[in-house]
Amino acid sequence: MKLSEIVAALDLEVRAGADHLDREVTGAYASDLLSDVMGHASEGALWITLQVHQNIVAVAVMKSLAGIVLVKNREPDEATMRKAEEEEIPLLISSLGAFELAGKLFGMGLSGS
Amino acid sequence: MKLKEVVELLGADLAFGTDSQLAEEVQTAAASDLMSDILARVDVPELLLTRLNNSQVMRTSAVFGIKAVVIVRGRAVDEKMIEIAQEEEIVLLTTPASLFESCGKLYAQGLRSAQPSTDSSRS
Amino acid sequence: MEPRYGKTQELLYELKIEQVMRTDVVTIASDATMSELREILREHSISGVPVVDGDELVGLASIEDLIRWLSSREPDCAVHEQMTRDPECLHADQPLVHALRRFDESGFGRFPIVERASGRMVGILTKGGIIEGVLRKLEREFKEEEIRAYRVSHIFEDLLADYKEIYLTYNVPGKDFDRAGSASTRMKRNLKRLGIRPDIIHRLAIASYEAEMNVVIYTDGGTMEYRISPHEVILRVRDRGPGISDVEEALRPGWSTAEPWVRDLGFGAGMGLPNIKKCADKLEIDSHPGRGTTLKMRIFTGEADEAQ
Ligand SMILES: Nc1ncnc2c1ncn2[C@@H]1O[C@H](COP(=O)(O)OP(=O)(O)OP(=O)(O)O)[C@@H](O)[C@H]1O
Ligand SMILES: [Mg+2]
Repeated sequence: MKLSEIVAALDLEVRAGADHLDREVTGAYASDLLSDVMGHASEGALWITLQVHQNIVAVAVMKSLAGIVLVKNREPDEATMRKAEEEEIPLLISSLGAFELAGKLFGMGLSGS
Repeated sequence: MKLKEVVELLGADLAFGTDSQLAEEVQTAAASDLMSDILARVDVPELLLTRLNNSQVMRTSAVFGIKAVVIVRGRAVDEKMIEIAQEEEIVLLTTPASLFESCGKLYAQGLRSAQPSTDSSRS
Repeated sequence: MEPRYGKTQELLYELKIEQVMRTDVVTIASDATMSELREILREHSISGVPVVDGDELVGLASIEDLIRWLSSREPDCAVHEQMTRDPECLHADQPLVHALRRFDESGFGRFPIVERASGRMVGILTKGGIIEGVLRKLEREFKEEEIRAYRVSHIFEDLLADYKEIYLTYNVPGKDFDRAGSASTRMKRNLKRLGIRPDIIHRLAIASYEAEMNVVIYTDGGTMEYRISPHEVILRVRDRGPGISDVEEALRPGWSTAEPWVRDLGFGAGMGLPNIKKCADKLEIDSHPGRGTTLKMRIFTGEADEAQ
């Protein structure tokens, strides 16, 4: 599934990386713990979190994630947005909480390994 | 759904929970690994899913009035967590499934978030 | 005694069969022998078991069937020859009063309980089970009533003085994560016992816990003092440093100096102080870098209109 399809289906706002939404999403990972994502998220996964500080971009780059969705309308810091733009990491915002967002993505067929 | 159905659905191990607790219905859930985020919510979810496995998850749940805690990714629970679960009458489960998958399955069975928080960090 | 009886009756309508039935049902296969039945009944000290053929419920075998067989002095035979066939089942979602009526009318000692939708057997109900269930529930309600009787207002009414308050303090050791939060959870229990309104306890518990966690995480320790008077609770949280250099900044949602190890424990979202502010009716923060921080929060406990 392409990231752009998810953005459209779930009405996500795009804060950075608008040019990179044609990426293939291979799964999803929900976590607010950077070390957990470092340890366990797999390449191409879409990361669901409410962490907003700029370290999330570094983690996404290192793990080659497809993008980051911030839940509950969390607004990223300036620095986070700038860094995401630089590193070509799509940074998205959902009005849903992590539980419901994961529920909907799972329902769309994304897997969570 | 009933808590005992949650146990089955997630292939969970029961670390603590009495028969009558497991017969209770739950309709709302939340997933978070940040304690203050949980406590900032306006409505109290009945079920909390998290990857954290420390005493503070149980204390936070006790403070907030959460009925049941699901620790995901097969993380072990220690004596202290079980002791607090018992003291505070909170059901404690562990599932090998990931947080994402656990949420997905419960959502598919009709569980929903308690009303979303009025997020104070929204500027 | 009259009102208690009324309460019990009410419970029989309120409770569902599934809340009192036994779910760990011992069963016996229909081709098992009567002497095996005797062993099973004895081993579990029960008076009857559902008889199953694979997954299917085909009968009930009880101690009465066993006695009848023993006194007939017939040779050992399969349970299905002696059991009661096609036993009457009740549904898990039926009210207890219905079950009681069926016990009365039928004279049976037990009913298998099935799930309405699937017809699957999910439990077994005996008269003893009903009594236990009702007693459990009564005990719980009784406890709640007892708590209400202790309402803080009563305590304060009973004491004669010009000014009254209950004063409780807790020590909060720094960096002790196993105990962290226990002052707040213990306090929450006290507040319940004092009969303070649940929504107010909820706010107090959250504010208290966030403050306690900050002391554990950022300082070498401190104290929490609660002053509970008839119309408000004042909570003072003092610690011995390092202090907050810019209090205004620290109150901003998302502002945090938490180190990675703190974040890995689930803290450091920078939401603690904002949560406290939201929960308390009044909040004062007094902090001196190098010396320490004192948080003073007030929460009004009276009815909404009293909280001016
Ligand atoms: N008692 C204290 N002593 C020293 N510094 C403190 C104290 N309480 C808070 N702080 C400082 O204020 C910051 C904000 O505190 P706050 O409780 O709002 O968020 P947090 O503790 O960082 O994260 P969270 O509470 O969401 O887990 C902290 O990161 C810390 O720097
Ligand atoms: Mg804090």
